[in-house]
Amino acid sequence: MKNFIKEFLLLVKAEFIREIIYIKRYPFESISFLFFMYIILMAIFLGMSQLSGGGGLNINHERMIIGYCLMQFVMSNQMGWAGQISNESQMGTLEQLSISGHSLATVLFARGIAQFPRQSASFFILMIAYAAAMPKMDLHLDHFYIAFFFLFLIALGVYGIAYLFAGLTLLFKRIGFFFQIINFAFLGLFWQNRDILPDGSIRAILYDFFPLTLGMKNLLLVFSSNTSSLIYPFLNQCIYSGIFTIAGFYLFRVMEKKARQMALLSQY
Amino acid sequence: MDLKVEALYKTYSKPLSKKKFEAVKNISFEIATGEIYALLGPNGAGKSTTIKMIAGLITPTSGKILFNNSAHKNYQVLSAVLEGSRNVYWRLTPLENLHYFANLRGVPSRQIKEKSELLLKELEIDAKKANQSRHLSRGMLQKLAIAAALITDPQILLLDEPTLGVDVASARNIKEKIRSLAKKEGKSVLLTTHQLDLVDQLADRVGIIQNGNLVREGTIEELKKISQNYLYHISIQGKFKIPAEWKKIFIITEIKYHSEITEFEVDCKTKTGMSSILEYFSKNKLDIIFLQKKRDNLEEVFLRSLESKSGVA
Repeated sequence: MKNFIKEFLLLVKAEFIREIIYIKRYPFESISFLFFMYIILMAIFLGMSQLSGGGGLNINHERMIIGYCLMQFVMSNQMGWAGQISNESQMGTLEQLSISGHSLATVLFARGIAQFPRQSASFFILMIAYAAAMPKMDLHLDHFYIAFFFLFLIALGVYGIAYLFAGLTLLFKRIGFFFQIINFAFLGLFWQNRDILPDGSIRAILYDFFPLTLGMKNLLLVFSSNTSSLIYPFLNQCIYSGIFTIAGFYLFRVMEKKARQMALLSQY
Repeated sequence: MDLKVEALYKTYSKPLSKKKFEAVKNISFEIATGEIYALLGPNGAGKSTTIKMIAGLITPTSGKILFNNSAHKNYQVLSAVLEGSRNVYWRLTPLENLHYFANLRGVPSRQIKEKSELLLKELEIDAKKANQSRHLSRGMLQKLAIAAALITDPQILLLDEPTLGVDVASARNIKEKIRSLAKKEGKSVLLTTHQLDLVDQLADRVGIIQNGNLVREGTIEELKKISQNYLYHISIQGKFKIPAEWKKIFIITEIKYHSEITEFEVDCKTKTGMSSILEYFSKNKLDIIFLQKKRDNLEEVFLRSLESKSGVA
C-alpha cells in the first residue's frame, strides 16, 4: 500500500509537471479558452436582453453564471479524458501508459488530480469576471475557500462519468459526436430549475443525485449569503461523488481489461 | 533476467460472429540473461502480437510468460519500444519526455536527472535535448523512444522494428547500443524486424514465425546448417545438353540457352555430387565459364523456412 501511494504520487507529479510545461509553453491556449467562454455567456445575456426588448427576462442570473462556470469545468474533465485517450492512441503514447505497470484508470485519476488546480482556477477566474461585469448579482465570492472543497468533490463525481466516456473511447475509438449529444443533455440539466420539477420524476431524481447538478445546487448555496448549514450538503456531495467515482473506476477497469483482450490499446 | 514464453496462444473473435482468427499458435521460446533473440517473419505472422503479449499490452488467450521462472509480472524489469518512433510526447522536449516517463515508471527522483542526461548523451540526442520532440527527425525520435524505455534500467528490453525507417548513422548507433545493453549490461533483448542484416549482426538466436507458428529456431549458424544446400549456378561454353542420368540423380533447374553459353542451376543433393559433375566436364573437355555455390545466407534460410510447410522446429 505504501508503495502504491508513493508510485501514485510520482504519477501525479509527472502529470502536474507536464501540465505546468504546457501552460507555460502555450499560455495563449488557456487565456483564449477563458476569454471565449466569457464572451459566450455575455453574448447569451445580451441576446436575452434584446429578446425581451430591454425589459429583462425572469431568469436567475446567479444560477446561470454558476451553472455556466461549472459546465466548462465539468466538460473539460468529462470530455478531456476521452479526448486524451483518442489522441494518445493515435500518437502511440497510450501504449507506453498501458505497459507502465499502472492501470490506465490510475493514470487518468492522477491526471485529473494534476489538472484540478488549473480547472478550478478557470472556474474562479470566470466567476470573478462575471461578478465584475454584473455587480448587482448576489454572489459571495469571498466564500471561494468553501467552494474549492465542493468543487473538488464535484470533480471526483465527474471523474466517474469521465471514466465511462474514456472507457467507451478505448473500445470504440472515434465516438466524439456521440458524446456531443450527451453534452447537450448535460447542458439542459445545468439550466434546469429544480423547483419546477415534480418530486419523484426521472428528471428530478437525475437532478438530485447527479454529482454535477447536485454540485450546482450546493455551489449556489455556498455562494449565497447563508453558509451556516453546509455540513449536510457536503456529506451528501461526498457520498454521491464517491459512488460515481468508484463505479466509474471499476467500469473503466472492466473496459480496459476488455480492450487488452481485444488488442485495442495499440497505436491505431 | 531470463524470459520464458510457454505455449502462447492468441485468438481473436469478431463481434457478432463465430469466426475466430488465430494470430499466435502455441509459441514457446526462451531468452537467457544477456541474450539477443530476434523474431523474424513476414507481415502478419504474429511477431508484434507476441511482443505485445509479453509487454502486457495484449492479454494472451492461453500460455505463460515467465520472468526468472516466475509468472508474477514486475513491470519495472521490462520495457518496450513498440511500432516505431511515435512513443513520446511531441510537445515535450527529449529531456522533459525522459523525466515524465521516469516519474511514470517510479524511478527515484534523485536518479532521474543523471540518468536522463547520460542516456541522451549515449544515444546522441543531447544536442537536441531542449527542442520540442516534434522537431526531431525519425531517427532521433526512435532513439528517444529507446532512451525512454531505458530510463527504468529494465532487465528485459522488447524492441519492435527498432531501426525501421531510420538513417544509416542512427541505425548504427541504435545497433551499437542494443549490443552493448546485452553484452556489457547483461540485459535480455527481444527484437522483431524485417531487416535480416540487423538480425545477422545482432542476434544470438533467431525464431522464425509464420502464420502464428514458430517454424524454426536456433542460432544463425544452426539455421544455416539446417538449411544447408548443394545448389550451384553453372555456365558452360556452347550448347550443352544435360545428360539424362543427371536428371535422375540431381535436380536441374533454370536451364537457359544464350547464343554461345548454356546456363543452369543444379541441386547436387549430396556433398560429393559436384565432383562427379566436374569429372564429366573434364572428361568431355567442356569449358566452364562460371561456377558458384549459392550462399547459405540468412535470407535463403528465412525464405526456405517459410516455403517448408513441414519444417516445424
